[in-house]
Amino acid sequence: MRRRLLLTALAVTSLVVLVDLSGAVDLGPVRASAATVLGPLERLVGPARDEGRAAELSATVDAMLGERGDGGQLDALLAAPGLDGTPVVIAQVVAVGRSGPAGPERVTIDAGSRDGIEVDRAVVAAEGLVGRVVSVAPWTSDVLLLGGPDVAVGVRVGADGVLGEVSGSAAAGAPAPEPGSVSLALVERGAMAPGDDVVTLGSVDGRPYVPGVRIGTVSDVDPGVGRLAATGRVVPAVDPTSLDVVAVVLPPARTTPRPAVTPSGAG
Amino acid sequence: MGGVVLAARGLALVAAVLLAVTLGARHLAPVPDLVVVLVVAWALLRGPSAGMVAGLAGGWVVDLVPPGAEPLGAHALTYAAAGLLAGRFRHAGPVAAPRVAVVTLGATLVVQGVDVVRALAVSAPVDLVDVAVRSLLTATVGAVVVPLVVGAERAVVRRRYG
Repeated sequence: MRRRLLLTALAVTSLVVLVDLSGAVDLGPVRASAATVLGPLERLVGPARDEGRAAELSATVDAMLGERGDGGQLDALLAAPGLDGTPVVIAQVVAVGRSGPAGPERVTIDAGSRDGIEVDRAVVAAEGLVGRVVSVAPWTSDVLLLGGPDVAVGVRVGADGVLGEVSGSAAAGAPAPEPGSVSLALVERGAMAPGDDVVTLGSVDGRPYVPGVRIGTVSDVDPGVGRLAATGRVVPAVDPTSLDVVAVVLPPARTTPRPAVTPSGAG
Repeated sequence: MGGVVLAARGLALVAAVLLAVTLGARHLAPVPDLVVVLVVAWALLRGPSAGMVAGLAGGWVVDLVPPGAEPLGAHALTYAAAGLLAGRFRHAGPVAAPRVAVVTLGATLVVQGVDVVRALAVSAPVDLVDVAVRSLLTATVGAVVVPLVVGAERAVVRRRYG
């Protein structure tokens, strides 16, 4: 009887893995249910925030800056390029997930759907892009970190803004990135060199990524023999092992309606 | 009594994962794999099937406690394999620390090995030094904690059956 139960549990687990890998069924509610129960516990035992959470989450960013008064880190975060005039929710990292072969891939922050957080929103730190929200529960959210194998971000490279894509796994035909770096593959002809800055290109409606957020610096470039566009590696600006205060970028409110026009026809 | 013991084991797994993820948030690294330690303890005490059940449960906790891991259920299968392996080294009598350390190291390498193979399959970076340090740390913690867990379990059995 016990053996049959064990085999059933193994079969069900295998089925869940296949379903999750195929994406045939959205298993987000399963994660959200677990996070709803355990998230508050993590907020309780995780690193404490500087001020009362309720005031922080309901106030404006400027108000939060004034009330918290925690000095440099939050000031630097709010002054980060790409965040001018963009509403953000300040959050504290309360849990760092199990390390993969090259470091942590997911973290939990102490802000959730009750704070306006949604799936596929960019998460930034003072130094640059942290990752994107992949799961939201009422009190916490899970963030997939830049550098994870499943993360790909459209970027602009260097002063010329050459288009490319940063990914945690190697571009086709390129060597795997070293631990602590991510892969960069240009998608158009152009030049890049070690030391070039890499910033986000931005997504449609700023979701998941807003434009202009710093990702890191090009560390090396492949010779690229026979390739149309160059490949290389980027050292991320954010160290995922030292995350503390982060901000989740929310959609900017449209204050000026886009004007409608009526074509009058050629004539 | 049996239900209480099972609930206590489940809570121990949840507490182990919560401790690990919150230590990470406090920038303590590397963090030993406490779930492997508990799975090895129960596997050495009760054998391969019990080790597999403990691993399955522990892996589900790893996958579900925020921030969790992907894909859902994958770590449950990996930890179940680790528990099955550890259970094969079950023997009667006191649990010697060196033996526990070796078994824990083997179970950890099963879990870490699957992660490394998955990373290599998609050309993601692999830090073998970090993997080795975490595995050795887990084995060291296992050598200390596993005899304590086994002793506690045996004490519960003695109290129950006299």
